[in-house]
Amino acid sequence: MVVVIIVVMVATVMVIVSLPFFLKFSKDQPLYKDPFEQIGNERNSLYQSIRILENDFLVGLVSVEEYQPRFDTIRSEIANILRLEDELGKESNSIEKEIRLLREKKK
Amino acid sequence: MKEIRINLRSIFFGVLTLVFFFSLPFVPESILAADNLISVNGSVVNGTDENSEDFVLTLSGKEKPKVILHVFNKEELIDTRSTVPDQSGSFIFENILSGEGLIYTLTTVYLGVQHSSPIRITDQSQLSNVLFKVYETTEEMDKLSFREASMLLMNLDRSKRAISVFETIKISNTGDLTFVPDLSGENPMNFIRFPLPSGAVNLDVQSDLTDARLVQVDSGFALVSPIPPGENSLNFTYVVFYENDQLDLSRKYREDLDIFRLLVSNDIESVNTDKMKDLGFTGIANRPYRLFSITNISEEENIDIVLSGLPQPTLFQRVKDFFGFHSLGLFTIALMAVSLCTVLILSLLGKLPYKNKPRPEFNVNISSSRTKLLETLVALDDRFELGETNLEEYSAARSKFKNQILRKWLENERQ
Repeated sequence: MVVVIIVVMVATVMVIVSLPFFLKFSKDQPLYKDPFEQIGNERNSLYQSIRILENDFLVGLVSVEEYQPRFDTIRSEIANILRLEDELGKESNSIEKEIRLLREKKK
Repeated sequence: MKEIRINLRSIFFGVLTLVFFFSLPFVPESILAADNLISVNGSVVNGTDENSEDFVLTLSGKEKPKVILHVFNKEELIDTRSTVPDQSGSFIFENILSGEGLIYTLTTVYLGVQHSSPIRITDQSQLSNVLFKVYETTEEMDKLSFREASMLLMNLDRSKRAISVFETIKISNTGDLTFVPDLSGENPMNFIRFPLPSGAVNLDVQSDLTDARLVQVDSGFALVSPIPPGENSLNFTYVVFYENDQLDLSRKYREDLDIFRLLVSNDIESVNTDKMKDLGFTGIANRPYRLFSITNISEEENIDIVLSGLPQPTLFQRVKDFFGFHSLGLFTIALMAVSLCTVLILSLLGKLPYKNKPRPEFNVNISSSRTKLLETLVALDDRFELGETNLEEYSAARSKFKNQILRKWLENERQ
């Protein structure tokens, strides 16, 4: 009985200690698996920044001189993100089209 | 100036009183408790010629025995007296301490043979008229026989492949002479011999014979002590080892034997013996033993005993013994160290299997090219169309590879 308990304890400790060796943690692994989700989050984050800047401006925390250049920068980033989002959709359709063509070619 | 007179006698008695009081704690309790002194008396008689009227004279005519009295308090010898019996064989020891727990031992040596008789003080009647029998001696073995012998296979240690054996033999001397073995070497067969299995170790012998001495002989041991008339027992234990699952304990006794019993514990699967009767199970100390028996065994007759189906050490025990780890804790630490080193080495060599390892046909990674990823998606669609993968697996794999292409595209666009 003592032997069985010791073997179970040793096995448990071994599994816990060796777990990191069995799991694959790649440094290249992206934060977002879905690029649409990633770009959507980035867009929402910029909208939030605009809202915070407007609030700060209304309560007087940010001056007119400071507000305008920061607003223009964020607006430009949002425009860029919207463009990317649009083109990502097109790229997604393009991939589907390419897959279809390749499959038809195979047949 | 005042004259100081020193009375030397007063100083002497004062010192004596102090010594007496300080020495009190070191005096045995039984002596302090002794309420009276007793006498031990008896007579030494010749047991060989009891029916003769002059058996006492016969004794005195050959050799006068010296009777020795030892008094023990538990394990400690507290008094020793000796005396020579008178012409009638009578002896007396006077002014002997008495007390609870004291043990008295009478010893005498007659014709080179020592005789002892332990007497406990609790039975006062035993201290008077002690009849101390001594016997003439002989070197002839014809009156000696083994009345019964028992062999008990007690404990079986499978890790060491060892069996602890307990044997008891009752030696009977039916004559009226004490058998004294010839130790001169002229007659080397003039001993009682006891067989032991080959390779037996840790022999421990206990006997009710006075001054029991043993010598090792070829296939066992021999008793070189005098054996007085009557029945005497010899008990001995030893350990015997087996190599495979069988052990041969067959034996021959050099004396006639009335009965031989074999008791085998449950650990031993089977006992092969041609002549012995299986008498079923019996219990000793709440443990079941299988009893075998054989009667009227003549001198030099072989008793076949072959044990089979003996348990073998487990793999764990073999590994432990192989590396010489007698401590379980040490073995556990060593096992853990070896296991962890193995895991570490394998991981460094990249031999460990990864979780969610992709199938060979989808063997793509994060750095695979767009073309390869597209080919993988095509193959995935083909397989799904053929019904080789289910919807859940297909959807997960498809979005994984497609997202990989889109992520690459997004990274390029941002650069």
